[in-house]
Amino acid sequence: MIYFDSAATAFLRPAAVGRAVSRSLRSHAGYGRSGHIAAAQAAREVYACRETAAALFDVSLPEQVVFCYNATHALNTAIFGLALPGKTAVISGYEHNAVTRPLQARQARGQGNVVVAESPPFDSQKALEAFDALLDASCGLCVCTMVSNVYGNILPVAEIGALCAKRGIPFVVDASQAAGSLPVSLRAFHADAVCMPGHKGLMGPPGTGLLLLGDRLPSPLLFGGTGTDSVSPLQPPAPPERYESGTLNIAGICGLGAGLRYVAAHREAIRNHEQILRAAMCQTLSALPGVRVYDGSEPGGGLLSFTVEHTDCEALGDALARKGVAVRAGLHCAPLAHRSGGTADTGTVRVSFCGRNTLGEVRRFGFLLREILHG
Amino acid sequence: MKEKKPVTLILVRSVTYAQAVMRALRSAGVYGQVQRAPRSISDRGCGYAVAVRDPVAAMRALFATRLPTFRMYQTHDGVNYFPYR
Repeated sequence: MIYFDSAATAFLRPAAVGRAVSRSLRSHAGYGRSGHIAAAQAAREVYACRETAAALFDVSLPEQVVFCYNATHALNTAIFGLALPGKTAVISGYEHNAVTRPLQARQARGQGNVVVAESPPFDSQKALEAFDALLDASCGLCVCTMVSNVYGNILPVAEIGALCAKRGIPFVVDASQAAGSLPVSLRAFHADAVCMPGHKGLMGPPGTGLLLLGDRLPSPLLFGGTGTDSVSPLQPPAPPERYESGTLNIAGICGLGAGLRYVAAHREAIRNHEQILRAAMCQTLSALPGVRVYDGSEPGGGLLSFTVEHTDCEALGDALARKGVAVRAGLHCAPLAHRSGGTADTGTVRVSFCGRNTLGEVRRFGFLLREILHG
Repeated sequence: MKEKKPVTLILVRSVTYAQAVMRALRSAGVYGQVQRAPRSISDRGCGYAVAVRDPVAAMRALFATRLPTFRMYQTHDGVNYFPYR
């Protein structure tokens, strides 16, 4: 199989990830609850994972790295926990439903409405201007994705974060499509929270995610046992336990730790390789009649979208699957992004890369697509 | 008979902070061990502690970090704990 669906879930993971999960299942138990050897070993590995993430994403302390079950969990925690009550939330036109649905729910509860900073894809100057115009005193939260999961356009999160910091507005970054490839820095983004899944670019198992916190701490989303302060009816005051109620996915976190170590050692090479594959894919697709590639003059992340004239994107995704190519077609849980890019009616076929894809696979993809479209 | 050296327990707020303390101690060359905090001194319910033999060196190592302040207890027999002064 040619796997071009890494933006959904990593598939070509380093072997160390599976080994770490398996070892954890065999040797870890009672994390944060007990003092026996299985709990002590788990605690060491989990903390090591926090340290790796803190170093990789420029978080001041490992304790500010919170484990979640996915990016959606992290985003819900950040959105509901940081939004100033009654105030407007400003988002980019490229947000995933993991951002728009919690904000719609917040709006339905009368806690504050949502406005979109509209801009065309691959135009970071216009995106920044749109945010600048909306980030005023009525604004109580700003959420921006770093890389669109539909087109791969990169949003200027560091500049948007600087505006938010200057105006005292809580700022949340969705780094789901950036982490593991682009440099992600909580401090450089002036972010109060950066959210990411473990199972995409970080190569970890599904059921893992990270919430990176700055100095402004959100109120918790989940409440329950944390293994400490049991006498108190309240959640512990400090991260990470404040946000980690219930038994954690220790095996998943150990796998994520292995993925993070791999990324820490190879991030720049992964980024460069993805850029080469992206450029090659753009060239391959542009050479095919009737194919429209959604690209721009600015660099993109490790994914891109295309459509084919008079061809249903889902039918094309199915045809590619039958030829042994994994892509994702449709709206990608991001109808807002499709509206911003003008593909809401058609959807797109998305191809996404990882550091282990090859140029040969891109060439083979072009050959197979030509075969499907033109026989 | 050689007198047994007392053990000092440094109470920490969670297993995560226990690991942070261990990391700070290790980098200063101070031996420590994570354990559950004895119920008799853990007035907030379940908790963790780091046991050290050299509390002065341990505190010197920890003061250099940004970790929160701690309560410390000493024991000679592992049963009776006294606030460390």
